[in-house]
Amino acid sequence: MKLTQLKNGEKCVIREVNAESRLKTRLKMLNVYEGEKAEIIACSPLKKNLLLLVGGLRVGIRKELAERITVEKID
Amino acid sequence: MTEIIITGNPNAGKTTLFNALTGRHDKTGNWHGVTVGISSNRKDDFLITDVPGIYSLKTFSMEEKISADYILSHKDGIFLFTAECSTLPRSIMFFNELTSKGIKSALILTKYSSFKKHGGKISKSELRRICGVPVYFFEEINFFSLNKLCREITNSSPVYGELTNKAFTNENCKPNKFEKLLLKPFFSLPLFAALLLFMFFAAFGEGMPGTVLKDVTEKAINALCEIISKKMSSALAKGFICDCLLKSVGTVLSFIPQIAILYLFLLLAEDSGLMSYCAFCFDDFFSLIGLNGRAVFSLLMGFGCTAAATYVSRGLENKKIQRRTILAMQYIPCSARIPVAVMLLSPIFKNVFFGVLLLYTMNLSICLTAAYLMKGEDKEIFILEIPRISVPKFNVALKSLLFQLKQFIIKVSTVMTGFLVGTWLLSSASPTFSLCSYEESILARMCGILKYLFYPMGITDWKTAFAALSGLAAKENIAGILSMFYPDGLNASFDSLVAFSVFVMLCPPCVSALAAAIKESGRKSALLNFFIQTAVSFIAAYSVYFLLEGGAVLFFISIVIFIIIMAAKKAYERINRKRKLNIKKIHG
Repeated sequence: MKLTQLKNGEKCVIREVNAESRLKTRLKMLNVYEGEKAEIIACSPLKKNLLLLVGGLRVGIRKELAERITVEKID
Repeated sequence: MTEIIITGNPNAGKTTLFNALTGRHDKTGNWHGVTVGISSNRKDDFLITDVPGIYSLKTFSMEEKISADYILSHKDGIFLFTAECSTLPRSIMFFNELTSKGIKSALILTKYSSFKKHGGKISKSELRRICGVPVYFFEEINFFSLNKLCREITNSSPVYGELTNKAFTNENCKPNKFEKLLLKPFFSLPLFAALLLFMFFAAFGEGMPGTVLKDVTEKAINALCEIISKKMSSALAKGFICDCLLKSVGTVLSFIPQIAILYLFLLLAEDSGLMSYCAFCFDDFFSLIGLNGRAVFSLLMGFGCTAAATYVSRGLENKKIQRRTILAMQYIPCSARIPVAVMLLSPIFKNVFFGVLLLYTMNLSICLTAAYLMKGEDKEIFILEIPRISVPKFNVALKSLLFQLKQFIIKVSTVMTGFLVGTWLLSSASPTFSLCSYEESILARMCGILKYLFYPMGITDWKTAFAALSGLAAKENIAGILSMFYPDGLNASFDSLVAFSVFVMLCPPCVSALAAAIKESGRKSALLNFFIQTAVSFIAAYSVYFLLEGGAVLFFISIVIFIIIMAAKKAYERINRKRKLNIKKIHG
């Protein structure tokens, strides 16, 4: 499923990041990469942004980018 | 001489380390992308350099590129790699990238106390073994230990390091109760609005610290003027030094408390990390007008100094969005406009706070409208890292505050004083270089044409027009010159005062801000924006004057007449249609 399909407070494992290499490197430096666990800790007022907790970092990501990230939900 | 380069991820504490080593006051803050340029400082045998934060040598944003270029061209220097304890796992990836290029570096761990408090564990000796480099906590490093540290770094042999459980156990990173509240829009949005409002209230509200302290400063300066004027013997010197110079400089300096309060709020918002949460919550709204959440940093800092805020916009990763942010930000009134705004408004508002609030609201809405009008169609990737909220260190905030105030005092006592002396000379000398009244002076001749621009605001005096122009050099000048020419206050009507203050708040910022805008967004768009802003400020001031001078009534009446005519036309058409139908019925 896509990252955008998760609800606030749900956890997942990142399976695929569909982005060009430069953006992928950047995301990796923000701990967003295949195999990493993530949790959604907040949504912005108009629900256009997600705040992820990944490996000790809080990373805000816009929906357009979150749609390109495939994840697997875990409990 | 040895060059020491401080590098690391954004918000790792590089500039804090730089300041600690060099004793400088470079800007720090608890958000990502505070430092946007390279700064160096020589001390004894060391050249210490601070570069902007960077995630990887494969760069992404503008300030990162500056940093990567610098690092790669100074590979043989000695590096201090700062890493925030809680983000060490990802920092180590970048650290390995650097050492694989043959860079010799030590690992400096920052923010350890907060990390330990939240349950994190780190072993320096284990890290040293894994990476093969010297590892220290931030607190252990000072200028005097640099020699030893440099030797250790030169003798080290770095290897590709991978974190083990023994070396590193991460803290509990979940947001705490306050952070959770901040991430809830229904709490944070009103909170941010209330804080902003409170900032202005504390500075301009009646009986609040800003106004009270301002009165005290004003009295102190007046007393000082009296003492000096008693000691003077020559009438000409007395007239010039006391009545012109000291009074004007004193008037502007007496606004220090109000400017200080504004800066203090901004500094605390930065230092606590609140601004990043603000950026996250406001990104939704900013994306509607073609900006993104990071623009919050530039816009808020624009309340301090437009030029400084312009450079901060480099943190915006998209060049187009950066340009739009800069151009829109020119409408945010900087702190140097406070003296003139309060000076103009205090005779007409019983409580200046409401007047100031109206003006700031006007500026903010024009700024956002400008951004919306420039909005492009580009889809943007927006990623924002948000730090932990930390209790701002009061002494750090106080130090940067004193530094900002020092800059203000220096500017007023050099640039503005020089400008005032020049103005006085030009306005006291006739074209044949003899002493004369203001009206016959060289300056009066030079500003003869200028004043007509201000006629539609009800201002017919060239001196006011000249004051407005002088704001181009520095916004402090406007207040200084007005108080020099009008020691008893500007004698203009209510309507003109309102119109003129609208003009002063909207007119383009000073030349140093223009230079910054040209540097960051290109000559063409910066200059075009400058002319548009000039036009906007004149048109806004003219229309405000027109509306106040009875234009509003005229405007209202014409709207009513228009509506009546339209209604009558509609009614007539309806009656006509019915009649035709009736005729058809009768005949059909």
